[in-house]
Amino acid sequence: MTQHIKLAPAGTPQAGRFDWGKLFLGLPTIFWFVCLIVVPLVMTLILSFASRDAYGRIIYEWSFQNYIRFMDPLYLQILWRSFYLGLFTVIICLLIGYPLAYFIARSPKNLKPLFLMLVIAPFWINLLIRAYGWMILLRYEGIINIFLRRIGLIEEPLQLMYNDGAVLVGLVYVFLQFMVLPLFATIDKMDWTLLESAQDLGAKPFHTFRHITLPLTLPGIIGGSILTFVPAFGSFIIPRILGGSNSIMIGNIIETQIKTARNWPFASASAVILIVTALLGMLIYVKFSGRSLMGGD
Amino acid sequence: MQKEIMIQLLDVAKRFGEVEAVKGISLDIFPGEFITFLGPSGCGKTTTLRMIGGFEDPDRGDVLIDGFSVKDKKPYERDVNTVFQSYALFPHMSVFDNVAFGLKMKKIKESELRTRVEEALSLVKMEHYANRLPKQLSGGEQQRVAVARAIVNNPRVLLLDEPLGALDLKLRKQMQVELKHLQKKLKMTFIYVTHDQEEALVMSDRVVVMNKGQVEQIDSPTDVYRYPKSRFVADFIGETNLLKCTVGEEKNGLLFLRHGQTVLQASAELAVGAAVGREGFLSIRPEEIKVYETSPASQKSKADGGSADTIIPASVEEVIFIGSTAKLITRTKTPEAIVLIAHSPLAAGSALVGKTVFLSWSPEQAIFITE
Repeated sequence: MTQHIKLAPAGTPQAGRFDWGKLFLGLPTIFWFVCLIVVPLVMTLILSFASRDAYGRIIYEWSFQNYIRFMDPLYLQILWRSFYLGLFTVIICLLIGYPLAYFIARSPKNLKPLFLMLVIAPFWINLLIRAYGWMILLRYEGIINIFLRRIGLIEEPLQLMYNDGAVLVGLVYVFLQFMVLPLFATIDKMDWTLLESAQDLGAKPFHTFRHITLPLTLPGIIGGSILTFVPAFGSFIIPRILGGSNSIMIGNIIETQIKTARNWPFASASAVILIVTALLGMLIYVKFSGRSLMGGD
Repeated sequence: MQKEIMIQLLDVAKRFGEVEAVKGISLDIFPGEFITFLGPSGCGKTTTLRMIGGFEDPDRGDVLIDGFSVKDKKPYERDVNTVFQSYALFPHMSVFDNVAFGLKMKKIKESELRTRVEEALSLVKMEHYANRLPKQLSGGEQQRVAVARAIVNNPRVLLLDEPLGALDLKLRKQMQVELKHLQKKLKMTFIYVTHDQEEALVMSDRVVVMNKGQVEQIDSPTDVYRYPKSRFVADFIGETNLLKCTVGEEKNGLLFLRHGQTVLQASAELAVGAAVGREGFLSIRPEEIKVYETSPASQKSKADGGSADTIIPASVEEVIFIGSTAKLITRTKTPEAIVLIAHSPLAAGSALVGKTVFLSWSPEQAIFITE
């Protein structure tokens, strides 16, 4: 008779009772997550409502004044520039990265690691050095201008640096691999017989791409876009070196406010605005791209 | 009357790097026919199918569909549809959208599209699954959808590349019958690829037995089984006893073959490439060998001039239970001690082990073949 009492299968936590064993297993993750993400974010958020004295010391009196100050057209314009530079970086990286990732995924098995290595290789060189590399190419007396003058295409050197274009070139160059790698991962694991199957059913290459390849690689497109957009949107080294004072991005504001102006509360408020804008942008993007591409015609 | 030819392979060959996958195959396929490419893996059967579908370009030769070369036609320009081994259903589309895909590409009107898709789905008994995603279906159900997706386009030819390979035995047998019925109902030409000889025999009108990129034999399932034209075919299709022997003489429609000191008889009419002195093999199917516990010689009349059955005494070494019958592994009591496999009713069973039996077969069941 007593044997009938055991009803819950072994291993399932009973309702209303907390599974301490699982929490214990998750402790390391939770610890690092709190230390590295939650605490800094909360600190930034708290700081953004404080103010500072003339020497940069933080005064813990709460107000929205940092956010109100940011609403100045000067700052809003910089936020907008950061946004569209980030956006164009994503678009250009996608246009270059997709064919590249596709090419690598379709390469013979023994060549794939080599190609992937080449994509990652620039990563091993310091970002600052790579940015200066572009300076050598783009500046007034740089390689491109010298070359164009030699072949007689131009009389006077072109102003290639210190504008949005230069920043965009730098951003695309630096963040392209963040687009290529997730794209490669999804394209590579796609079942190629699906493409044969689509062709077999009468789909021309464009339609095969539109109806099969694109929807199936969408996770890679979304992942790559987010990985490219977020750092591009918040970058400060590239705009500082290639954009100068003409092409300031929000990362430069934060950097200047912390290092030069010693206004940590305003820097924090700018950082919060950066994070919120980026998150909102991503949310809209994921919803939009998910619907337009997955929802058939 | 000349039969109309639907697909013609003219000496098609294909090489992948060092490997010659297909070494020049010529073949005519007729409308409404169920034809099967049968052979071990790597024999070139799938490559041949893919050349018809347009997924591989032949290095040499040509493929004609309805008399026209399709050499320069891409797969999407050929009136041919394929059921892939992996089904290749589009994972992001519902069953309905999968089946509708081909019609959408052909810009078929919405109302007609809907009827045709529903028709195709009900043909494979999947009409209630239209809104499911492929991953919500079992292997057998996915298989049915793959078939529906191909036949909905009403192609001239349906290509099936080992479509039942991933299913379990029982489901596979059921699907074999269903596919055959479907093919008869639609009167569509099916070109089927399989390495499973039983599948080929069950379903096909004609079987193309392939080996190492070449055609070994093209015949009806019965003829391929009963009258193999090469050692490979005899060995690959079903189980057989193959005895190496030399042609001694031909007399009264019988071949007298020497296997060591033993003389065996075979029908001269059915022999392939027999000439006196020629070396070859004698193939006798186990189920054609009759097993007697006492010598049947006295019961048989020898009046018809030597056309008597071969009778050889043998001892039973092993009895293997194979379901409907028992398989006997015997060793003949001739100087060569040939191992022969015979089938025997279950009743005889394991009681025969170690006993002497008499094996007997008629010359019509003994086929002489050369290499």
